[in-house]
Amino acid sequence: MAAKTKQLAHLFDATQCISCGACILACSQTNFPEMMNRNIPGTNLPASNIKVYRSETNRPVNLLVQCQQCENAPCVKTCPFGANYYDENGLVRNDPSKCVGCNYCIASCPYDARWSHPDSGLPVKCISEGCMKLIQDGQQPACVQACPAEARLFGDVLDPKSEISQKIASCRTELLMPNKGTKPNFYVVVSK
Amino acid sequence: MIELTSLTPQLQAAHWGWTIAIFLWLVGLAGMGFFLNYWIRQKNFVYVLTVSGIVGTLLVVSHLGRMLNLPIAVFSSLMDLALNLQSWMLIGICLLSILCIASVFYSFICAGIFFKGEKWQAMAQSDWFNGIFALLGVCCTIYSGFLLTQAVGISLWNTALIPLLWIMSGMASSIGCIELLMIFKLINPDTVRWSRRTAFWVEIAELFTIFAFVHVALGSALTGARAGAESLISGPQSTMFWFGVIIFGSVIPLLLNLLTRSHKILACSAVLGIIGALLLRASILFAGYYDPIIF
Amino acid sequence: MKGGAVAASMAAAPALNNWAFAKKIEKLEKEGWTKHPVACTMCGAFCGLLAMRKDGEPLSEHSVRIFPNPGHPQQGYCGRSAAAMWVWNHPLRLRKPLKRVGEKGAGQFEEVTWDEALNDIAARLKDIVQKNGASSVVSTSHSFSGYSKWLTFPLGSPNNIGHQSSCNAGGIAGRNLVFGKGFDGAGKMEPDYANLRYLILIGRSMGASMGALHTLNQARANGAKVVSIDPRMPDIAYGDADWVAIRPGTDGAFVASLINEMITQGTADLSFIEKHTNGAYLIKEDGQPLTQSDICSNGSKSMYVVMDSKGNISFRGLKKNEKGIVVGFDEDPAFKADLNAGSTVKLADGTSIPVKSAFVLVKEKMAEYTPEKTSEITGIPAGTIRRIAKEFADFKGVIDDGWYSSKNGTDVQLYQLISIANAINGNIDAKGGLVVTAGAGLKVPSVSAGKGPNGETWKMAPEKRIDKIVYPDAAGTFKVALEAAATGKPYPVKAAFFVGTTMFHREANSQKLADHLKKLELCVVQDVLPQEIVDYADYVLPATYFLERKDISGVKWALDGSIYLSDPQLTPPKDCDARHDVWILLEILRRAFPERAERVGYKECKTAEEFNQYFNAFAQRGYDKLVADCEKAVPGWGKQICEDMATKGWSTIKPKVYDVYPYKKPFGTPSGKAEIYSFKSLSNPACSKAVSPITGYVPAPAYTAPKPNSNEFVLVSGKNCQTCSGLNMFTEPTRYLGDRTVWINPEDAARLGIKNHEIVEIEGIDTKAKGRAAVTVTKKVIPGAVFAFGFSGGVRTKNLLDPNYQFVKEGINSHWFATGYAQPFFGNVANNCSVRINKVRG
Ligand SMILES: Nc1nc2c(c(=O)[nH]1)N[C@H]1C(S)=C(S)[C@@H](COP(=O)(O)OP(=O)(O)OC[C@H]3O[C@@H](n4cnc5c(=O)[nH]c(N)nc54)[C@H](O)[C@@H]3O)O[C@H]1N2
Ligand SMILES: Nc1nc2c(c(=O)[nH]1)N[C@H]1C(S)=C(S)[C@@H](COP(=O)(O)OP(=O)(O)OC[C@H]3O[C@@H](n4cnc5c(=O)[nH]c(N)nc54)[C@H](O)[C@@H]3O)O[C@H]1N2
Ligand code: SF4
Ligand code: SF4
Ligand code: SF4
Ligand code: SF4
Ligand code: SF4
Ligand SMILES: [Mo]
Repeated sequence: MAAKTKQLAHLFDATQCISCGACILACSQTNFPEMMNRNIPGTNLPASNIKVYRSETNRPVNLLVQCQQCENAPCVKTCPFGANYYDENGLVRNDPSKCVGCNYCIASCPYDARWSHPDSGLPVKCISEGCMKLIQDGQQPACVQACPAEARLFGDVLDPKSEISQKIASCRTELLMPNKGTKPNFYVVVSK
Repeated sequence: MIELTSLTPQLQAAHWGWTIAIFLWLVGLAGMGFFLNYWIRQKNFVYVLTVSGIVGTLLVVSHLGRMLNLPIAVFSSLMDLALNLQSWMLIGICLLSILCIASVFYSFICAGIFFKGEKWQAMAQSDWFNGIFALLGVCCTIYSGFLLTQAVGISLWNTALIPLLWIMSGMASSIGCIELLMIFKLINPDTVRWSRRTAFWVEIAELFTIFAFVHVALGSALTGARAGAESLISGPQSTMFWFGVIIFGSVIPLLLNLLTRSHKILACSAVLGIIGALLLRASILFAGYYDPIIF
Repeated sequence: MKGGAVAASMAAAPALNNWAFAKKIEKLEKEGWTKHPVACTMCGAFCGLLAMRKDGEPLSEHSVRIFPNPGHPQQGYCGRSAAAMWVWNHPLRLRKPLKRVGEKGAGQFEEVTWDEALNDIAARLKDIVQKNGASSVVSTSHSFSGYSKWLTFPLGSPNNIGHQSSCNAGGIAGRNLVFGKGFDGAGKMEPDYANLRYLILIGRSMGASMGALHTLNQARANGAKVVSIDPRMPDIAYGDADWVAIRPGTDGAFVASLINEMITQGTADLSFIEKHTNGAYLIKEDGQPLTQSDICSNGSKSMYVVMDSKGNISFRGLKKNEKGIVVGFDEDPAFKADLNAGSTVKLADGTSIPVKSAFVLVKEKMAEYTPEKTSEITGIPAGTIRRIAKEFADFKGVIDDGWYSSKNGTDVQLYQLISIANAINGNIDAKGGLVVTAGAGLKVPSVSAGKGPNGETWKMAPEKRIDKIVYPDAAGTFKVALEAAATGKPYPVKAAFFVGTTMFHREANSQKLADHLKKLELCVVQDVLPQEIVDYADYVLPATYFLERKDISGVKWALDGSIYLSDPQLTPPKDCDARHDVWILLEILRRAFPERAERVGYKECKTAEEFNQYFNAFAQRGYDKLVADCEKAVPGWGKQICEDMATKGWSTIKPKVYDVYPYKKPFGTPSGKAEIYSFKSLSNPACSKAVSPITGYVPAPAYTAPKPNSNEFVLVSGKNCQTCSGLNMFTEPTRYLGDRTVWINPEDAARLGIKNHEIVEIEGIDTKAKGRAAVTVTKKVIPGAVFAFGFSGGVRTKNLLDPNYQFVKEGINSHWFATGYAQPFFGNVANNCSVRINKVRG
């Protein structure tokens, strides 16, 4: 495989997020318009690729989590037919034509970032089709567009000039669940 | 104590429920059955194992959210050279397909359909033939265990004890099955004189593996694993675990096995053991929680 | 993940204005979507949004998308506005007029036609007015009091009474005491969010108005620090804002202590206090200010006396023009008054009396509140109080003058103290301080008491607005009207119109509210969704909501004076017969009293289009006039405004000019200065009985104080950024995002043996009401208090709730337990209350 030239990644600024939920709704509206008045079966979750995690072992924290676009993704490793793959931008994508809906990738994602779409049986995750179109159009994904608190960035972390790279360089960021060996591409700003 | 309500159960996200539990159970039964069959080689037993392997396979296929896409997926994957040889799921699918086809073949020989004649019969009784089946059986059982271990998200499952556990309880249920067939005179008791003693040791080994499994999980650094173990011992799965798996599924059959030779009671104990193996799989599946991302 | 330690270091300023969505909007426009500016009322903040609409496609949730309006002075978008289209065709949306068929409160209705409903309501209204006079008819609203008045005023009733008593009345009254008339209303004084350096939020979550939060984020990006003083941790503290937990109702002591620290540490801005507050004004022993008339025989009563350190005196007062309008200060700018003056002065009659400066009185009053003593009252460590006082002065910070202030029945004093503390810090109307916002000067012809939009006049009913009789300074205390429905006092009320207000989530003491609602002879509810109030209505009338109507108005809460256009051009979904609120009201009026409807130039409008033409013409008239005036003032400006409105949906008319009040122009107080010692309080015996010129901490009179370390707690409430509004409470995303639990501190939970997520019983100590809710055991609430969001569950509507939407019933509504206590004279109600938390057996 040729050396990677691009790695798209999300950044979530925990110091800026005020937990308004706009990104969650924007995700839902952009990617799952058919699910607007339905929740993910068996859960109270709206059809969105973002979940809210809270904890207060130390200082109370609020994290909004979505697929980490792992460089070493368990979901890719476990899929029998290679339906999950890395694309040229370093995103982990799903090819529906190869997917049988076994949900193995859902169970194997350490970030619980996937869910099974009740209509298609596909294991959806960020980045879904609606956002993929946005990105291909040279735009930002829906959740990044929606955030009223400037808490989200999306871009190429291999390009040192990108906004996301600069933010990572200037702030203290952390990666989630590093112990799982997934090499995630989701940066959480923990202090400015 | 971990607050289970603040963790996501895999059941909610991946939906690996009863279908998968029964599938794992049937595969364990068929797999370890073929292993034991190396010493038995009786047609009724082969029939049971064949049916169980096929039903198990059908179940897992029926569970696919995109079942109808299976042929296309296989085709498309082959065309793109995308088949993922690292995937236990793929390995499993191959193993199961082989097992199903091979066991039908074995059954046909036993029943004298298509493959009639001495030559075939001799082959079916041969060591090499049954040796292959034994190996295939063990592989299938192990696969069904490794299937779970690869689910990185659910740390209760990320332990090599699961394949071992699956082997032990697969053994237990196939011995139970053998005893049942024997009691109903469907196989020749002479060939299975060892079954009682083996059953005893298998139950002991299974109990020991369960203990080790729970113990390791409880001591794990990963919250999801600890939560799962707690769910088994004192949480939502504890009734199924204590009554279904431990007391009725292992201890009672064990004691009955020691105390009596009454066929009726032994039949009950065999059934309990078989159900226990199912409930073991179900409870472990249901006790699967995602590790919390922050804590 | 480790909890992020807060680094106080200045951030590398992130680019705040490269809005990602702006690109998206452009793109959509190219793809045939049209752009429609909207003023959002998913909550009461009126932020600027854009509705993007795919032209040519049938109207649906998919062909309309909501975005922030890039660059809007109150740029909106939050979880609630994002859900705006979830309301449009909501499964529970009120679609047809409903007539009550069962008992009041039983929630049994039948669908009727608009004609049936309007004719019957009109007939009953006519009868009531003929028997009891127009003033027996009242109307109320939250965000739409500009609509609800279109019934009461032309009818001749003064009783269009707002929601302020349960929202911002305390803040209004507190500001009124310090800054005076004209500077007290909603949004008139605001922190300069974009430019401030240090912000103290006291009982202000910022989980509300995204516009303000968005503006504040500019300051935060430049390193501004935010401190929240609150019994519970608001979401803004998940980020890098500091949360300092305080016992409910003790904020007065905290602010007093800040003032005391600043005075004793010498960090108070003495020169500001001397020149721009009434701190140097001499006060007599009876508390009244010494005036020129005390000293000279023909002296003025409105010229106040100051003294310098040598004992020379000078007068300070207001300059008025021949019409009696205040035009500036009447004082000697060179005179340096002594803030610490305390001596005797000789009166006109020759006697001598002791006097002290107002500043000395303030100082003496505040001296009680040492950090140590305050710490005992508030639960905030003394060191933290000292630190905040120091930072507040060092950074020349500002204390937010609040929004939702109806908490403990001592809110007037609290907001008085907050205003004083800002003045003591000398940070008034300066960049980054507490500033007077600029108005745009748009005047939309409308109806008021006795005056129509086209210059019509008529005689109103002789009675005073009913709440003003009981609470003379009430900004709006609607509960008086409902009490009058039950008691007939101070005069009878028979009919009430509820235009876009939940009532049960708004008003304290639900049982009383329900009882009083049942006493009404006619109760009409105009709403979008089946809020609990509908069960008490004789008629429930389906109204359009903000995405379905047009409006031109001034941008609210913003620094500069701007105007906006809200014109999303949506119509209600197919089978929904919703109509414009004002049409409904005017049609009722016309059917009852056609000649009174004509007082506002209204004749029958059969279709929505006809009505829109009639109604939108007023805003257009006001707008045209503004544009013409601007064009006249600066050629080309008017054109610019029209272009702005057409392309962006807003235009800034008057940029904020800093350093005007009270430097060049007086405030609305008797002295024209910021009054750290309120002269207004002394001007009226009822007022001085209700509030002193300077007050310290007053324990909450609104509820029985809970016993410490027992199962008794103060229950506080508030809102967040995701949910918590009448409209949003019902939307699908709220199922997940909504928090319908009661928060309890781990210490308290452990003492009571309560586990996280356990269902407990909550019992009002004063009201005896009971309810059940799941608890969240969390450090985010101070021990001794419990917290539950307002507008988050506890909806008890009986029959109109779809089985799929039962989640709105979960949890409690804190108003079940609140007493409904209102502060005398001002009428602001306390929504906090005290409760017992009981374990549920079984
Ligand atoms: N989600 C949502 N946002 C809204 C609205 C809405 O309906 N929903 N409506 C808009 C309106 S009308 C308003 S007025 C604004 C209000 O906006 P804010 O003024 O920011 O008010 P709240 O968000 O209600 O926050 C009130 C805070 O006061 C705290 N509190 C309660 N009692 C005490 C006390 O005794 N002492 C102290 N220090 N704090 C206390 C609560 O814990 C809570 O955090 O929000 C606007 N935005
Ligand atoms: N416990 C507690 N109580 C509180 C508060 C709190 O924080 N906690 N906050 C207080 C504050 S600050 C306020 S301002 C009040 C607010 O109290 P409410 O006035 O009850 O609050 P809103 O959320 O504005 O309710 C809006 C209502 O109008 C309906 N509606 C929306 N749009 C339209 C429309 O266009 N036309 C019509 N006819 N109806 C419409 C909605 O369905 C909803 O019923 O509550 C106060 N009460
Ligand atoms: S990038 Fe798109 S798909 Fe992913 S979370 Fe954001 S909105 Fe959803
Ligand atoms: S976060 Fe989960 S779904 Fe996303 S790439 Fe990693 S393993 Fe796959
Ligand atoms: S659900 Fe689809 S993508 Fe996921 S592992 Fe199974 S086949 Fe692969
Ligand atoms: S939109 Fe932004 S502020 Fe709102 S929840 Fe998402 S990340 Fe947080
Ligand atoms: S804060 Fe949110 S809901 Fe309220 S007006 Fe602004 S955008 Fe709308
Ligand atoms: Mo409010």
